Amino acid sequence: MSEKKRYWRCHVCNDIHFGVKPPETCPTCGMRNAFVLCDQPEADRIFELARDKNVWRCSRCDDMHLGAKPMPQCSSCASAAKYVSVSREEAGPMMRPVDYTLSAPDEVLAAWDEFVGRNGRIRLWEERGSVQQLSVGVLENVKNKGLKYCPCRVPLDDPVKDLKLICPCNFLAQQTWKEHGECWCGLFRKR
Amino acid sequence: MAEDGKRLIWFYGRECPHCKKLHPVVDQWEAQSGISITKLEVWHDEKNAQLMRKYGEVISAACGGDLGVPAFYNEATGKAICGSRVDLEKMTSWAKG
Repeated sequence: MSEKKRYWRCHVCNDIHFGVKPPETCPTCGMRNAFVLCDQPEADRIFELARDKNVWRCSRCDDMHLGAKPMPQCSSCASAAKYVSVSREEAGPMMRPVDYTLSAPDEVLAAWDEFVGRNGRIRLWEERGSVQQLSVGVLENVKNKGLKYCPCRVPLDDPVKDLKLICPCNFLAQQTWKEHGECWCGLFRKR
Repeated sequence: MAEDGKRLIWFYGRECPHCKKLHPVVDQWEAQSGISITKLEVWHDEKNAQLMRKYGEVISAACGGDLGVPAFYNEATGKAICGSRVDLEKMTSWAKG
């Protein structure tokens, strides 16, 4: 893995982490292996809309975390250095531009593959054609609606409420996951 | 074609894989029943999405809590069915109310 810092989003609670490695456990919701690679436009939009979250900075390596709680230990430098609270004005410039995007279907697929590869409980739908169709769909929704919304959910036209539709969403809470072991659109499935 | 307020409506998404799989099932149901279903795409047509939100409470309940596609709404009876497991039998039951 490159040592460059990237953006990661918790699919359960939409915390954003800016660092070399994603947090193993989300400090806000406590879910393990819940962070998926995201890009700067997505991180910026959540930063703008999730006003109930605070910004925290690793005092050793300057990793940043947007969430209700600070990281107990830094996932990048592994130090138990304290995460300190910083203002949104201070945080913006520190979450520097990154040199990657998730704006092509192959890039989205690679992010999903990396996410399930790190998570022992989840796999992608074996129908690769349907998975590719969903990657095209989330990018269509970026173009038309601004975020990678699930093509099988429907927005309420309320930007804050619609944050929970960003793919991967919190599918662990869905009835289809509990009853059939798959998310609403079928993309993510229990191993 | 039924008039507004009495339609059988199928809300679908263009990039939803389950919707794509349901297209031939819906076509088959229409051919067998002789009844037409109004097909409304919701991700590329805001007017259709607004109509779906208007029926949102019933459809969300049928979808397990949130608005999703594929979803079927019967304007005459106010009943909805939703999800990838909709089949010919469920469609007939929903259409009859």
